Amino acid sequence: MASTSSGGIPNQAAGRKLPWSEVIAFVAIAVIVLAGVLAGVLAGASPQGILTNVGFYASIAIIFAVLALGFNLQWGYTGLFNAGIAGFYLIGAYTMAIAITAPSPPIVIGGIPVYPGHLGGYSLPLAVGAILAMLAAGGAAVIIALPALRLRADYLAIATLAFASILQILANNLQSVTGGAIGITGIPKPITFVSANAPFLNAITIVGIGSAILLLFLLLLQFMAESPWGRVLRAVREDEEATMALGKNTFNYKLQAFALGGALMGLAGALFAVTLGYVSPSSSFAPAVTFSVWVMVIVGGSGNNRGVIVGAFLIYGLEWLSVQLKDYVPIALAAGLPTIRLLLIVVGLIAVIAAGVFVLFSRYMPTRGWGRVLRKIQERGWVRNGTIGAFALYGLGWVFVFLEQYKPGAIGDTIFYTRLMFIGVLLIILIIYRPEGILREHKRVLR
Amino acid sequence: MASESILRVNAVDKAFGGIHAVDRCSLTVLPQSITGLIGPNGAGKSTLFNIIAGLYRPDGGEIWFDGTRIDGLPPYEIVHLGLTKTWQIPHELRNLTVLENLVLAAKGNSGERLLNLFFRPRQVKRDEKQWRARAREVLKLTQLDGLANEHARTLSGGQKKLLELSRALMSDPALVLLDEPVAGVNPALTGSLMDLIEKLRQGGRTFFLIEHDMNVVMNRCDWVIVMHQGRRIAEGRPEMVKTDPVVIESYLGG
Amino acid sequence: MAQDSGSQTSSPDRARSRWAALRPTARLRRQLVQASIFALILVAVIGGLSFVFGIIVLQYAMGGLVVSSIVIVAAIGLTVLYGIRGFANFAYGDLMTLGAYISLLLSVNGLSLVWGAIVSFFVLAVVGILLEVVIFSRLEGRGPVPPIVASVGVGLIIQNGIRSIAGTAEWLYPVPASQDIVIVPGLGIHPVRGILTLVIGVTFVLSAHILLKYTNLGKAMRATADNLELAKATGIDTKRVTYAAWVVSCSFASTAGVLLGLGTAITPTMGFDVILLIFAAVIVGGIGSPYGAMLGGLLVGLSQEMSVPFLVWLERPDVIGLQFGSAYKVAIPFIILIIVLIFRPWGIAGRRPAFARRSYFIERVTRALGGERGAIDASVGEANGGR
Repeated sequence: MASTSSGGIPNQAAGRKLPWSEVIAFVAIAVIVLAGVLAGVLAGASPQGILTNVGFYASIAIIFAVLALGFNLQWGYTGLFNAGIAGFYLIGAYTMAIAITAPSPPIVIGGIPVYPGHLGGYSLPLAVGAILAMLAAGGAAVIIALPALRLRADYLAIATLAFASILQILANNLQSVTGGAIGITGIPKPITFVSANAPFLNAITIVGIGSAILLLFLLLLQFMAESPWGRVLRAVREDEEATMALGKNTFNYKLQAFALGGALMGLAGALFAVTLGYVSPSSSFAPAVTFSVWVMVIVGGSGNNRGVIVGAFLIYGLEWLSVQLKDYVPIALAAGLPTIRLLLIVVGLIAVIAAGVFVLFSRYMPTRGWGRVLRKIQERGWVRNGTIGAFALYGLGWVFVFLEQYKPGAIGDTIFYTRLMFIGVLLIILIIYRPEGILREHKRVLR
Repeated sequence: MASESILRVNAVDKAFGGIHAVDRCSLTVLPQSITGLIGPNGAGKSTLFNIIAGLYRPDGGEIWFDGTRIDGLPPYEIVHLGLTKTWQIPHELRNLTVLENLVLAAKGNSGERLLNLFFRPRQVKRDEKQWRARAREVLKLTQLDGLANEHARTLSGGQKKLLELSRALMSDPALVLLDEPVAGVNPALTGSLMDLIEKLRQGGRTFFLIEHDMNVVMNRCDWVIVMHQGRRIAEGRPEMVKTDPVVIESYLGG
Repeated sequence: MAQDSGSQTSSPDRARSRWAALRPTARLRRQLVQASIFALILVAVIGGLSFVFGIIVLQYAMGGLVVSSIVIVAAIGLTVLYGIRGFANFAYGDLMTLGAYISLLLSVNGLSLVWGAIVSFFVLAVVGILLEVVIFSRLEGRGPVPPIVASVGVGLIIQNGIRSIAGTAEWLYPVPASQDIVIVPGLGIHPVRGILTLVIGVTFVLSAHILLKYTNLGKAMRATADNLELAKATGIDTKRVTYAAWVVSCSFASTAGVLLGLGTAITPTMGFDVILLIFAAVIVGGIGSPYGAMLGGLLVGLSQEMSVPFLVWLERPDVIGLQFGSAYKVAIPFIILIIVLIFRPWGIAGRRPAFARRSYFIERVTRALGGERGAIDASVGEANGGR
């Protein structure tokens, strides 16, 4: 941040302006949900089915929001960069699953072991399971933190990434504990419904419980982070050595923040286990989860608890929408191809003609015209970026057109990978141009 | 004699990869004095300060502060004993406000312990209020009160120096180590800053400062210690040091 | 101070003997002794194990050496960039994948694999410079985290770009099928996957050594990695060194990727799957130290492969009945990594940083035990008191 945010940021203290970035963020979330609903209507789903689907979006987004809150406490407040979010998430999910399921012995059909069984089956209440999940993940965070927190940020990142991948190996192979590749199924729902509407009612209860938990932890974190304790965390983030010289035992603060953040990630895992009803060492705990959470926190503005929740709903929303629209994108593209091509040609022609006119014009008015525009482009960062962006967009348009032309269906088939590429692009652009996030951390005015 | 001193550095050694930054350096600082530490660049002055404040661990020797041995103690415990240092290059907490920077420097703010937030909310509130009031007093003293709610990164270089001093005062230290307190500060401000230090000294604090500005050293310090190549080569009253042939050879003249 | 004496000794001597670097100075002799002790221990351990458990151990050791040579090539590339640009490149595994796919693309389109590897070597070098210019130069001076985030973004783009273009299926290089060469019954090595990999690995290690030790660029690179400010002050063109680091790093990545693809199959995640192994090698050896990376790579590769017989032994029901024991072999490097992080975070071959402070916990324990304290010189203390 040192080089970018020195003078260019206007002082927000004066006057209350409309918080444009928040408005845009909320409108974007609304658009995502509406587009998802529209996709459902087009597919001819029942209103209840559509609502269940939206409920699923909300419940997973809530889980990501809890993950993002945990990471925000670690990175946004304390500056501890955790690359193993997926690992703490996994611990929480498996602890919850082992604690609350009924016993499930190994299944052998005709001498072939079909299911290896798993540890536990303690049938504990959900709340107890969630607390155990938080304790387990928080404890794991302490264990990994003790050697790694003394070192530079990149050591911590590598150590946590290694930790997460060891856990994935364990989950896959330690069959007697985790159920192996199949995982643990039959995780009970909060309330058992016996009716045709069970999925819908389940979605409603889970969203309700999830929102309540999210709200509770948002308030709790807001209270803690805005307290003198949270102020020390922010001081550690800014300059650990200086904070130490101000009389704070910085290691203790880092340990506390890392453990509490890890516990929150464990809670997210517990929610995940209950929401899906099963856990398996699948893509749910892959490193991509960690990277998604990074994007959520960076988009939301690290150090801003409400912001990272908005970021979680936004970024998971894109993922959810890409699933909803998977079937429609190729059709829409195929149908709209001539229009898109025409549009691109027209825009290109207009641009070329405009440029030509401009060149002619500038010959008669030397002080204006090309030179001035070029200078402006060089001087104003946003004009330059806008120009580059416009060119890139235009080029992308043609790439789409040619892909559709010569390899129909390629875009629709690879939409998941395109989404991850998009996350990568977002990470790079945000970290270069707007590291403080779209909803940036606010200034604390003390009275 | 030694029992009278507030700080006693005894044969402290520190080497960085073969270079002896501090070479069996010994010195004492008397209570309620303004003691200057001068020497050419690379003499090991800042390193010595960092060792005293606990940021580096000495390779050998011992450091006594007010009857307590402090070498090897972590910096935060040394601060709690009443010894604070400022930085040569200001280490302001950039994205915190000036007031936040100051309140952070307070010792024993109960709200900084996580459990107190939940179990002693009243005390936390009282402490926080008290420290904010104290911080505003200190800011008045250092004439930064107009900037209390600005981000520390927006301050000028001189203001950051003042912020460093203000933060040091927040912890109510008996001894303040000032690393070039007036470097980069404009001359008018330098005068008032040194007046402030003089006033605080009369209030019972001790100042030990590194400075290159000879005006400040000669007019404001009661005692001057000269370091060269990691060692103390001379000390005395400013006017005596000024005429010391050893000092002139190694520093002032050269 | 240090570089003063260095330039004084080197300038008059340079004309007289250009082979001064090869003369057995005390330091070189010490290093040679250390290296031969290390080699002896290694040979003794492997030999002892194979004497006890049979020839199978030698087979695993051979496999370990092959894996090590891939890891070492990658680890040198990663650590050179780490030393000079000061950040952990999380996209490194994906750059390896990219190198493997570029040579795959060329070799399925008629070019021989050798030419494919050479072309991808240079393509990746250009990619490296582009990455620095477009992305990473903008993140200079902002600490270690922003470049890590950006490199993860680069990795995601490469990995998923490959997935959407080439698909997720496994590919194999068009290498003529051949049998293992049997050295002794029970001990064989594949001519391409084994011998060729080893030879290329050794070649790269030697070329890295020559580059770093005997060329001006290499000396500038080492000086920059050692101390950026000092290097700038002594007139080294650090910008050029940075580009050189990217070129070395990414071209080594390409070759490591091709070797990895030869050994197994080519998939979009092949590089990302081994990135932690390479990080382990780099950290175990000491970040920023190419020679450390060689040592670390050897240790990590050998321990991973040679843990297999032990893990298989653990699978026996009368031992602990571990399921899928050999699947845990990839966890072994991480365990070494964690141990090194706890006890020697600057690596086994790395230099302890001057500013490293021991943990206050250890400090307090030694204090409580009344142990190690600095020497107290009473006479100096007395002399100081007379003021």
